[in-house]
Amino acid sequence: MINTCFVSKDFEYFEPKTAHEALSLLKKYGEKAKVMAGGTDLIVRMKLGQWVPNYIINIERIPEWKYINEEGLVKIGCATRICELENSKVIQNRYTALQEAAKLFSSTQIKNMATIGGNLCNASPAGDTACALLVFESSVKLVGDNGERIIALEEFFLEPGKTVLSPDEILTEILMAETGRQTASTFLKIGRVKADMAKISVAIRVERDNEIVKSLRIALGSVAKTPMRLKNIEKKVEGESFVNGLIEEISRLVSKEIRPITDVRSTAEYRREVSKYLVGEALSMAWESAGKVL
Amino acid sequence: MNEGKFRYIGKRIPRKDGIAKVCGREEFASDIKLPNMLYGLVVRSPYASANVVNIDLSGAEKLGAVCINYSDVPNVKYCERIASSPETTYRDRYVLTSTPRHVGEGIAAVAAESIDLAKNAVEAVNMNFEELPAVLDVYKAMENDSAQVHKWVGVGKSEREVKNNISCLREISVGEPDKAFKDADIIIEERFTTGRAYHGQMETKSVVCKPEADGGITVWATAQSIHNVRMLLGEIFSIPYNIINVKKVSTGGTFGSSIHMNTIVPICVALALKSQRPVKMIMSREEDMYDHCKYPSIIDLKVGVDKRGKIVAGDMKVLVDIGAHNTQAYHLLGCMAGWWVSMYKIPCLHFEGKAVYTNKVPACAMQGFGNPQVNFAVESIMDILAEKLSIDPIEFRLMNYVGLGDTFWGQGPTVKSVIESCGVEETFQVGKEFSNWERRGKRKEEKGNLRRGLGVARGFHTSGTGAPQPGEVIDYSSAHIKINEDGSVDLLTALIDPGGGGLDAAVKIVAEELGVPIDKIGLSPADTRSTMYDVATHASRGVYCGGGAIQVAAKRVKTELFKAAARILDASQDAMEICADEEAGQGVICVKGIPEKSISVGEVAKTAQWKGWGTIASIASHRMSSCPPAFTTYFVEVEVNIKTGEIRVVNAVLCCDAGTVINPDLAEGQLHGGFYRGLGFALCEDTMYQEGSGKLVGNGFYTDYKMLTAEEMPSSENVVTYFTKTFEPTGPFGAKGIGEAALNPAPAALANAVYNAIGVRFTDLPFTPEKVLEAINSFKESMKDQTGGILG
Repeated sequence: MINTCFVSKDFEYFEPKTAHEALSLLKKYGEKAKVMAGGTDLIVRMKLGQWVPNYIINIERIPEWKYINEEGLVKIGCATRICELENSKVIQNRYTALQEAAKLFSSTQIKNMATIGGNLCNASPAGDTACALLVFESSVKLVGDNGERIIALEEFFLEPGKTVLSPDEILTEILMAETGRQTASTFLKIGRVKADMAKISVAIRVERDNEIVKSLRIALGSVAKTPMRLKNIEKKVEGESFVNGLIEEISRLVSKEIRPITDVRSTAEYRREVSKYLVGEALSMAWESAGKVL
Repeated sequence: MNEGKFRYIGKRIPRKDGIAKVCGREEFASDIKLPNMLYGLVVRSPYASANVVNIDLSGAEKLGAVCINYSDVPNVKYCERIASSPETTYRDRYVLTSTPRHVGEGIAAVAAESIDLAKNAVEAVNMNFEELPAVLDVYKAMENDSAQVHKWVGVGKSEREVKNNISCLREISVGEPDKAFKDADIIIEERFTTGRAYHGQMETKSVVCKPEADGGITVWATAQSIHNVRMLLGEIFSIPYNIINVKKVSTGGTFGSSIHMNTIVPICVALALKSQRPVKMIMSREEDMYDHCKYPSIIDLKVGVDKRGKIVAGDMKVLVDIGAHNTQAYHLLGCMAGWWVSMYKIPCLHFEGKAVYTNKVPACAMQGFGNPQVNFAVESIMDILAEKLSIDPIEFRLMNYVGLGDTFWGQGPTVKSVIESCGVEETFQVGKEFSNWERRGKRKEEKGNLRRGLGVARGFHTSGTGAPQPGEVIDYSSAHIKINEDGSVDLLTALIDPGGGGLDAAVKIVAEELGVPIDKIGLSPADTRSTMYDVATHASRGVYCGGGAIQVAAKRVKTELFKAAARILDASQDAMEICADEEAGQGVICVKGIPEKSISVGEVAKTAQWKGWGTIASIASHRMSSCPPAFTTYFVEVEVNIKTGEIRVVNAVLCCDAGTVINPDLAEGQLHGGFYRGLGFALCEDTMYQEGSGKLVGNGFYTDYKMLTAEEMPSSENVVTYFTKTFEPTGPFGAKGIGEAALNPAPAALANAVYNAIGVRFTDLPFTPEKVLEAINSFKESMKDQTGGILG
């Protein structure tokens, strides 16, 4: 029997103060090390014996990775905590779905510890920030021994717990795309209780040209191996008039796109059915909000 | 409530242990730290049913750990719960076992210098098992070819053979139910099932044991009864009680989880005796979740009524999957019968209860001891019947309920008393008004995804297990009260406060009786060597039975005070009364009609000391002669999202008859807490099993055992609490219990509200959104050819 009073194996702990220091440590210890950015998922996995690192590099205390930079395109440092996203005005105004995801993120205690970088690198299909960021077509900056690369967030996730990060790389920054006029976004989530991972989560961003759907981005969490965009539906709807029946039409298509499973939190049937409803709800909320934006 | 009548009873005063608790200075078993202490851990079975073929502890011993396995502990079969007669107590477990019967059962144990070393020692233990077929389904368990969880169990002084895994049965008949059903105009029959919720108490079970030089032991343990722990340890280890000292420590909530001696306690004692050093053990959350759960139930309930709405006949069949050990199932079945027959008058009835062994986590008492399960069935069927009869559900209940002057079964068929106080009508009257009951059923056809409904259910729970004559269960408490020479008071009792504030009530009862201010009454540290017996804080008995015994002691010490005062004042003790002098911060004894003759309590005690009359003190060991029910009636308004199956409680009116309310803040807290837990039991709490393995889904991790939090509760403005103006003649200052009554009607009230909202009835707890949505969809499917309908 696993006893969660313990982590399964002793490890050496580092608390670098600079990005350079963190990257050198990671280069030195490579796959034997794990990067910790809040630890709310990492420590759980270590207690369960799923990960048994020899070294822990805690990057949560590195000031240069803690920021929400509003100059030009918004950039978010990887060690920015979820509670900071929740309380940021610029995130609330321009990236509402992300702020709402932060707000609905687990419990207050977890929000005060967990970081956006950690949430993405944990690569849970249920990751709240990932689902929201997908509709903003965000990119992530990965920095490693061979320099840095920027990739679309969509390309970042491979499967549950797996990303394209190589052992010497750290996800250091999230780059947000510009949001258009008459645009609004929203995030909805259902958990077993409020302070929980998602059974299903939905993020929507819609840009209006008066009554025409100029652009639409739909992302869902917990309904496939990774958080996913519903691109087929997006394409189908863009340029269409927002008429009665459109939401019903979209909802119908949702169940064809997603690939939910049954797990400890919910069933595949429930996820399939309720995803349709949540997408419709989120879309009508975002559409209405977008109408109020000049 | 009786405001104004009392000086201390009913006043809102901060609880005695409040400051220590919020400052983290209250001492729990896990806070005890002794010189030279070792840390212990248990090696547990990964299998639901197995024989240990070989166990090698040498690896652990090489690390310096002290190790024990099943052959190092006394070969004594025991039952961890001993509040009942030996003839009805089933002994089927050992301190450590070579034949584990559920995942998580203890096989060996280690103690080491540090907890980390102990963990390494556990990992160094090598074991080989012969895995046996596990019995995981309660119906299959009863089939002739099923594997047997136990072949022989101890009952009384003998061994009894277990057949078809049926641990015990109980059958009760009143009148001629078959004939009565024939005469009934309407008969409703329904199956209700409830899950294996986990206690989820804040503090996981903990224990420290120190071996003493005289061969005795001192034990600090999470426990609801220190005396039962001592007696069991004495029995298992053959140590005389006089050299076993179990110390009373605070408990971090129990909800029944420490109603017995916890399984780690004798393991810790065995480690301490072997190592001859103090040993501490703290269960992890996973170990705790694999230790005990609530009794699940399958209840088939059939009720017959006549045209006018009078219940004429009832039949209840209860099947309980008790898991791997019988903690107190025989009494559970008796109690379930009692909870049923004490709700409504059923002239002819038949009850059949069956407790069945499986290789699952053993079930034990948890908030209500079968009452929430029975209440859910009874109060759901009352609504079904009321609808069939076209009678208002409240009116129907009032036509049939067991109330003033009726007989109440406080603890099964052997513990009965007559109801002498009853606020049931008042709870309905007030609840109807506050919940706006009249508007129920008058709502227009609703559209949209959110549907609202209002439901009601009533319930009760016993206040302890006292009665005019002894029953199957022991019930008495004891206290020792001593007047100090400065007028302050020491109260010594083994009574435990699991968190509801029972000891604050005890202090108020003494204060009221002696006129001594609350801050001058000290709760003395207590242990089994310095206190008299107290059965346990269970069955919502703390205030009524514990407080009742303490009141007897307080009355006796008052008599002693008056005797001494009579000598000092040269006046008759019969003419004396005691009142509080706030200015002096003391009780003052006055002689009626002679104002100049008065003396403070402290002066009496001091004079008695100077003159050598002795310390003014008294003892009482007292059994209450009744077990009055505390009544609760809950009105719940819900909002059901018919697209997601989510249920939200919007408003609630919680009405309660607890007799005189001693601690209003804490009593309100009990209603909120009981209601909250009842909702969790109805909506999400359950422990599920992995197919075939006997392991828990979620492996006992708290991350996957979801309990509601403040986030799911309606805001406190939307929860009204109300206490009736009742007075229990047999209770201390008119008080009754409250704890378990506070939970019992919540699930049924919720189910009735959901039915009112969407026309779909849920009979299987918990009804998760997945179940709700599925039920809504099949309901819609069944209604598709019909026009209208509530979900149309």
